[in-house]
Amino acid sequence: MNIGFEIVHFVVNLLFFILLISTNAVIMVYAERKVMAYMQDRIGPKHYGPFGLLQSTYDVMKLLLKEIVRSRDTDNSVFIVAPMIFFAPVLTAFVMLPFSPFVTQSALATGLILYVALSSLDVIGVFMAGWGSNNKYALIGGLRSTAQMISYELPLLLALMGPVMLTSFVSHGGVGSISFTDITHAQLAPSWRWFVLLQPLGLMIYYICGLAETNRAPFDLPEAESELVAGYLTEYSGMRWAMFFLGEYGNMLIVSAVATVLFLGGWSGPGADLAFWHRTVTANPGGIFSVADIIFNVIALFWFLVKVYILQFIFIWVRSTLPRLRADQLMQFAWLILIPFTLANILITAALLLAVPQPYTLWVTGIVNFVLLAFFIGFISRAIGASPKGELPPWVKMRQQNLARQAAISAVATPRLAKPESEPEMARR
Amino acid sequence: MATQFQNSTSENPEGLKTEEMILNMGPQHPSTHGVLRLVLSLDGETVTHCTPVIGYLHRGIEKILENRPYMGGIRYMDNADYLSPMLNETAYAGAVEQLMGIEPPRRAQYIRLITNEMQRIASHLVAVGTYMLDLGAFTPILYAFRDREGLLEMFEEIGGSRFNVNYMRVGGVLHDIPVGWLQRLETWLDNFDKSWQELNTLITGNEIFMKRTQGVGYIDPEQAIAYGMTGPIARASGVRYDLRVNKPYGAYHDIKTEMVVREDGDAFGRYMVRLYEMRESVRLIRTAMAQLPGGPICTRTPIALRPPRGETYFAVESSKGELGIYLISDGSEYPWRAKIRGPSFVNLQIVPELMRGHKMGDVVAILGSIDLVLGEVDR
Amino acid sequence: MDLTRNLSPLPPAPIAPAVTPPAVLSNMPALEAAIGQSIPVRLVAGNVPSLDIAPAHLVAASMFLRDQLGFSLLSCVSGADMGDHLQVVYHVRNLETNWLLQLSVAVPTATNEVESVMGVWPTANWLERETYDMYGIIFTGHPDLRRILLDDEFEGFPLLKSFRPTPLTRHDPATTQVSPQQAVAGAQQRGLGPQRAIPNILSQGESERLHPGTPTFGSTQFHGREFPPQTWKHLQGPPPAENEQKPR
Repeated sequence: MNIGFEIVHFVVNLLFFILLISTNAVIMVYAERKVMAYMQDRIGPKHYGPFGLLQSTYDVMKLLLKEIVRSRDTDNSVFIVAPMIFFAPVLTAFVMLPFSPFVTQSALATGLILYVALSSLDVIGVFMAGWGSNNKYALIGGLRSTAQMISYELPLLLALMGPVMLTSFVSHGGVGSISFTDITHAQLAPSWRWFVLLQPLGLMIYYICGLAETNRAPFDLPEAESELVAGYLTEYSGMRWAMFFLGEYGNMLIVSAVATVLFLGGWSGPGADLAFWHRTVTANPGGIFSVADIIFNVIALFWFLVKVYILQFIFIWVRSTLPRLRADQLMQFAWLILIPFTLANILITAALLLAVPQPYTLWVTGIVNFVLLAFFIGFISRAIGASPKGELPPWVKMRQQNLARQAAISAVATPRLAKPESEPEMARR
Repeated sequence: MATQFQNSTSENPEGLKTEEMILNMGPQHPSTHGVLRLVLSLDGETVTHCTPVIGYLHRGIEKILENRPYMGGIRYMDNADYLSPMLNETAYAGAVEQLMGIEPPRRAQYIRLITNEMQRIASHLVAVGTYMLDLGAFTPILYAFRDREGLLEMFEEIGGSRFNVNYMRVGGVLHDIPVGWLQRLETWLDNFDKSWQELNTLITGNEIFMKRTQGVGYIDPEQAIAYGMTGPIARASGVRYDLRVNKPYGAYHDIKTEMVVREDGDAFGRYMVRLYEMRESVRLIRTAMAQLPGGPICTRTPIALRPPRGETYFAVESSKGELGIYLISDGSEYPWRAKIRGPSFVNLQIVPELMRGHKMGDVVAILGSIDLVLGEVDR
Repeated sequence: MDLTRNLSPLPPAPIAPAVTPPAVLSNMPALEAAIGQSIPVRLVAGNVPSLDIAPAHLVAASMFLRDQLGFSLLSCVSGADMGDHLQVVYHVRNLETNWLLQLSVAVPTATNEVESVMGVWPTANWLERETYDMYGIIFTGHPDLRRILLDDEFEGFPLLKSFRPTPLTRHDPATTQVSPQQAVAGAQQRGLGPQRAIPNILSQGESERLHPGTPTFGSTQFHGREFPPQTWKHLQGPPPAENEQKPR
C-alpha cells in the first residue's frame, strides 16, 4: 500500500465531506426558498447578493451569532447533548458513500447495514430533545417522531432488499453484496443497467420512507408548525437549533445519495461509464495520479451530485405541493400499505429471479415491478374513501338510511306515540 | 380566565398511574387564527376535552358604537370581522336604513352587492388558504393571497383603503365607481376563473387532503340548527339556509342567488362549500355588472341622523354566516344599543363538541374548517 | 365620473317588496292559548313582529315556538338597558317559512333573573353568557354562567348605562385629551369663563348626550347626569413622591 496515496485520499475525502455537508445545507436552504418561491408565484430572497445568493450565508451568520437560550426547567444534560447525538450519525454516514471511485472513504463490506443503523440513531437525538426540553409541544413532537422513525425503518430497509437481491443475480459468482461500492459496480458492468429500471417500486417506497425518516413534508408531523409549534425544536435556539437544521439537511443528502447509489447507478453516467471501460483508470486505484484519473473522477462526481440534487429537488417539490398527514394515518400508511408492499416486492422479485430462465430474467423482473408500481399508485389513491365529485360519503348515506327507516317506522306505528317531551339527545355520528 | 383546569388522573389495575395532559393552545399559536386559546385535555394524542377561552381581543365595539353617531359607527364595524369589512358595513348601514325607512338608490344597492361579493371571495380565499396552511400545505395560501391582492387593490381604488374601507354610508355608498374600475374587475374575474380552477386542481382531489378532512368534525343538520350554525358550516351540513336566498335584502331581490349546499357535514364539505361559493359570487358579480343601473349612489340624508325611536334587527349573509345588527334608537344621534350578532362567535360554540374524541392533528383541521375571525368573536 | 354601460333611468319600483303583515301573526292565538295569557304584539322596523313575553312564560313560549311553529334557529340574544329596566331580546327564525320573530323579555328589576332558554336552543349557551357578561342579567338554569369576553376579575357590567369605568392605571392622559377642568381653564384663558364652558359640556338635555368630539375620553360621557368629580382624579396623576430621584 502506498502510504502517501492513503494520506492524500483521506485528506481529500475529509475535506470534501465536511465542505459538502456544510455547503449542502446552505445551498439547499437557498434552493428551497427560491424553488418554493417560484412554485408559489413569488420571487423569494433577492436582496443579499445577486439573486439573493448570499441570503443563506447571512442566515448562517445570524445563527452563529444568536444567543443560545435555555429555559430554566430543562433537563440540562439531555437538552444539551441531544443536538450532538442527532448530528453525529449524519456526519458518520458519509463514510461509506461512494461519490466517485476516488472520493470514497471506505468501501465497507457492510455499508447498507451501517447506514440503516446510523439512520436509526437519529431517533435517540430527537427523543432526547423532546424530553429534555420540558415542554409539552416538544414532548408530543418527540414522541411522534420516535414512533414515526421507528415505523418507517422497516419498509425502508425492506425496500432496499430488492437491489441487494439483484446484485446476487448480476454478479458472476452468484453472491450478493451489501457494500455500496459493489452495488454501484453491479449496475455498471454492462452499462446502463440501473436498478431503477428493475426495481422502480423499491425506489418509490424507499423515497417515501426517506421523506418520513428526514421528517420532511408530508411527514413533517414532529415539527408540524400548525399543531405543535415547532415540535421538538420548540425550545432550541441559535447554534443548537442549527445543529438539528444541519442534521436534517444532511439526512436529506444521505437519503438522496443512498437512493442514487442503490437505484440510479451511483456515479455512472455519460463519460464516467466510458472511463470505467478503460480499465487503465480504475484497474490500479493505488497507482499514479494520471490526468485521465482526475478527469474521470470529476465526471463521476458530477453525475453523482446531479442525481443527488435532482432527488433533493423532488423533496422540495413534494413539500410545496402536499399537505401533512395525521399521526395515526401516518402509522397506518407505514404498517398497512408500505410493509405489505415491500414484502410482496421481495417475494415476487426473488421468485422471478429464481424461476424465469436466464436471457429473460431481468426483463420479466423489471416489467413485473413496473406493473406493481402502477398497482401501488392506484391502490394509494383508492384507499382513501369517498371521491370529491362522486357519491356521498358513507356516513351521510348511513344517516339518510336511518332517517328513512325511522320515517317508515313512524309512518306505520306512530299515531299512538306522543312526541317526546324532553330534548332528544344530539346524535353524534 | 382564572378558572382552574384540573388534570384528571387514573390508575389501571397494574397500579400504573396515568395522567391526562393539559395543553394550552394559544393565545399565541400559529393556527388559532388570532388570539383564541384552547385548553385541551389530551389522553395520548386524543382530545378528551376542549375549552375555548376567548376575549383576548375584546375591544368593546358595542360600547363604542353606542358612543358614536350612526354614521361614525360604520368605521368601527370594519374592525369586527376584519376579513370582511364590506359585509359588516353593509349590515350596520342596512340596519340604520331599516330603522329610518330609507331605501338606497338602486345603483347603490348594486354597488353594494358587487363589493359584498368581492369581499366574500376575499374572505373565502383567506379561509381556504389558511386552512391548507393549517393542514401543512404551503402553496395554496400564496395562490389565494395573490388573487385576494387584486381585490384589495380594487377596494383601495373605490374606497380609499384596502382593509378598513369605510365605504358604505347610510342611504348608499360613499363614492361612485372610478374610471376603468369595472373593466379591471372584469379582467380580474376572468383571471380568477383560471385561479379558481388551479386551486381546485391543487387541493380538491388530493388524497392526503381528503384523508385529513373527510369525516372529520361531522355536524348533523339538526345539530347545526340547534347550535345556531349559519353560513357555509350550516350549508355544508345540508341546512338550506342562506339569507341572500331566504330573506333577500338590497339587490339580492333582483339577482337570485343559487345556494351552495352539500350533505357531507364534515370539514371537507365546508371547504367545498366555500370553494363553490366563490364561483357563485363570481356569477353574481358578473350579473350585477351587466345590469348595473345608472343614477345617484346615495340618498340625501341629514348630516345628523336621528332615526325615530324604535328597534330593528337586520341581518346579512356574511362570509361566515348570519351577521345581524340589533339596533335600538332613542331618537338621538347615537344608537341606544347596537348589538352585533357575530357568526364566528356563535359558530365557535360547537368546537368543544367537535373536538371530543378526535386526534391532536384534527384539532387544527376542525378549527380551520370553522373559519373563525377572532375580531368578530371577541368584538 | 359615471362609467356604467347601462344608463337607463331609475326604475319606478323600489327593490324591497311591499310591506304586508307577517304571516306568523296568524299563529299568535295558538301561542297565547298555549301559555294561557295574552301577548302584546307590535311590529318593529323591518316588519318583524315583536312579542312582549313575561319572564315566567319565556321557556313555555319558546318550547311552543320551537316545537309547534318550527322556530328552530335562535339567531341572536341581546341584552338592552332600557333606562328603568333591563330587557333581553331573542330573535328566532323558522327556516322553512323564513319567519323572523322577536321576543322581548323585560327583566324584573328586583331579582334581575330570567330563565335560561338553553334547554330549548343549545346555542343560547354562549349568547346568554355574553349577555350576563355585559349586563349582569342572571339566567337561571344556565349550567355555566361565567364571564366570557371579559376577564373573570372584571368588576361591573360594561354595557349598563350606569357603568363607570374605574381607571386601571394612573398614567397621564395623552396630550390631545384634556380633563374638563383643564378645558375649563382653557376656556377661561380665552375669555369665556366657566359659566359658559361648563354648560357646553355638561348641561345638555336629558335625551342628548355628549358629543364625542368634546375633549374627553369615550368612557367618561355622562348622559345628562351629574358629573362626578372623582372620575377625573386619575387624570391629575399621582401625588409627587417625596425625595424622588430623577433618572439621569
